[in-house]
Amino acid sequence: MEDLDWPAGRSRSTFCQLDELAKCPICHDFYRVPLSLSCGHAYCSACIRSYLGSQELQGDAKCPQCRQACDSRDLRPCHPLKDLVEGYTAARLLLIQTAQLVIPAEPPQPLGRRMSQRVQKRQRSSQDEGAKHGTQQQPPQLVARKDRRPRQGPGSRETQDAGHASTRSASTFIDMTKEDCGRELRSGRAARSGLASDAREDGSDLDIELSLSSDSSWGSEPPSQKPKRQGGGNATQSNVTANKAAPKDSKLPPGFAECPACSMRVREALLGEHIDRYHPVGGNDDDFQESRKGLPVRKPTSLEVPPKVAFSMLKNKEVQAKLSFYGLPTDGKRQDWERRYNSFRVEVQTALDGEENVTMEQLARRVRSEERKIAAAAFIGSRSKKAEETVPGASSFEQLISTARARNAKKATAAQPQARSVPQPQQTLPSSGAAAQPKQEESCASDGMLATAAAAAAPSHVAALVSQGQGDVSDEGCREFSGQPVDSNAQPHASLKNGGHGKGGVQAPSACPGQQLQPRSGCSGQGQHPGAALAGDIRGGCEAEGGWGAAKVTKKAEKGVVFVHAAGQDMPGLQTRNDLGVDEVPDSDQDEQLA
Amino acid sequence: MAGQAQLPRRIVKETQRLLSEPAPGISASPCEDNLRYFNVIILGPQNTPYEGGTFKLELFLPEDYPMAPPKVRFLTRIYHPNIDKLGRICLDILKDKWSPALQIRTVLLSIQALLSAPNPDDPLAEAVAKHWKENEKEAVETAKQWTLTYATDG
Repeated sequence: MEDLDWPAGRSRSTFCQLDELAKCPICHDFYRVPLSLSCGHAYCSACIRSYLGSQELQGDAKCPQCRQACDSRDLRPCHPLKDLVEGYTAARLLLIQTAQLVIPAEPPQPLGRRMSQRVQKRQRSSQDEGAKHGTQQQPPQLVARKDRRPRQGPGSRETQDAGHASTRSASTFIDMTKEDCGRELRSGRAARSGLASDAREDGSDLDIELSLSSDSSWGSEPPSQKPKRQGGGNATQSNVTANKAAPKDSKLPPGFAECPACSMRVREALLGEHIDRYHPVGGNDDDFQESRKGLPVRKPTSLEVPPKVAFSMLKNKEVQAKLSFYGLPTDGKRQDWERRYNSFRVEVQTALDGEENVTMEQLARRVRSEERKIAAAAFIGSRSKKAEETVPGASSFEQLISTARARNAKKATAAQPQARSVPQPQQTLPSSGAAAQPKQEESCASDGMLATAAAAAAPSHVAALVSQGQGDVSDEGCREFSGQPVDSNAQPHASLKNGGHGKGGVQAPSACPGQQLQPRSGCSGQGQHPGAALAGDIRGGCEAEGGWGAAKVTKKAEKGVVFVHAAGQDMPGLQTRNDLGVDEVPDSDQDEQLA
Repeated sequence: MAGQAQLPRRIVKETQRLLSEPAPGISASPCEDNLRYFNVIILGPQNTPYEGGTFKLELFLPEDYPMAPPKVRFLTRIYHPNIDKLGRICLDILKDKWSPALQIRTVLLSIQALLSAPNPDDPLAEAVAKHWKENEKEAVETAKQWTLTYATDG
């Protein structure tokens, strides 16, 4: 939680209140593309648009906070707030670091008063400096404005200024202990000799020194030492000054590392964050600006908001046509289609509000993956308590797996003397139902071939059954073809391995009588990808208790056909096989033995 | 926990805050196997017939929360004109007056306030409301009795 970022103590609530001000009342997250309503309240574009969308259908759209009647046409971009939040979130990490260093040293004093003191002090000192240095120096406002080339909004300059101050003070502090800090600042100040006398009065007050030093560096730097890349934003500048302020020790203090990009000393733990923030992939802002100039930027107007649809007037086919027109999937129920269309509409509107440079296809993809995440969450949420107990932690997976293995081995030896010893790769069928999406089918093609090969090896009626991908695969069917006593190995397996979520794998012990869990290659507790790997045996017609991860398991109980839709098809590193489509797998090991 | 990664951030945040800074007289903790389901305990407010009682409630966050209101129900029996014998609550913010700017905490505080200020003019339990209107003193006595019987341990 963000609250815990701030140092503990009585000042935490003040900082948290500050955080709250920068957050949307609907999603409780920092504003993303804030829009304001006619009443003046502001929300994230996506939040308020999706809320008003549903409310307008009922003819009852109101501001969530003041309940004043409103309309989504009243929504206007709120640039000052956007800039403010961006500035705040950019400076927040440094604020936290500063607060962590400074707050324990502060006398217990209400923060509000302290802050105002600091601000006054800072203003005074910068005025003094201005008087001393005359025209040769660059006034802080000018620098700030220069940095702020891309966007200029009222209020942004102030944020920027504050951001600079905190950025500088924090980065000066980053690699020094507290005692060093005071000394360093004092000596640095003396060297710069630009400080007004009132600064010295507060020699002991670290807090005020901080703001002073940051201000003083604006004015007192000789022109030659000015940061070269002014367009690079406050981050670059602060790095440069930080380097200067820090003594040039060749040895790094323990626990610190040098940033490979700007050779600034950063705490090791924060190095990753530092690099992500200040040296993002794709170069600095200068390059970005140039590339923007050179390349014709795709106008956001090429995004078109899909029209509002009165779904009650449309037939199923017409709705499907609308979805496929925008490249949206048409699986699921009618309700899902409507929700999908509406959320796509909100995505497009949000992209337009945020002037994002995206295509309609990208947005459609985003909608799809969001939907999958929600479906996965809903599925997990609806699991029974018993099922939940199988997922308490990665360590117990191994335990579960070993117990399941032991139990299965016992059963296997009891039922079938020549229990197979070599785990066979899964063999699956391509989807026969309409559930699978085209993309899935593509990746499923190779499996289909595998399955066909398996079918060829099996007795003919089973082969037919397999190639059709449906039909009676009940116990009797299996018994009949195997010619052996009922053996769980001969029963249809619906094994699924998917990339739904989470860490580690889930191996669900089956609860069906006579059913056997057979760990196979690649289906053990360790997932091959960030998602979960799992092997669950689902016997046709019995409860699908083994189906796990973020998969939705539906079944036609009478037919014994089990459809498994995995919810995480887009997960990186997902294995092609059982992550999708219909997995209706009569165990082929038996077939091969027979063949 | 497995499901937590998929929970909307808002729910995670609200849960954390409910646990770290509980509202006075209210405790809400998520169920282990479904993080959208909360076990809630509201202490009967002072100077009401419910004083001294410990009322259990269940709260469920539907899939489209916060766009849709949470579902809340009393599990402990309570004699109140706006709460029926199944524990359903007649409260506008749980129905048409819901707003996504509200949250679990504000909903529970509203329910606590409803215990302090029964509204027999907008009843859910007709008989109780009638009793309340005709003889408030007696109704309050009954409510006290019920609190003793159902909402007090031991």
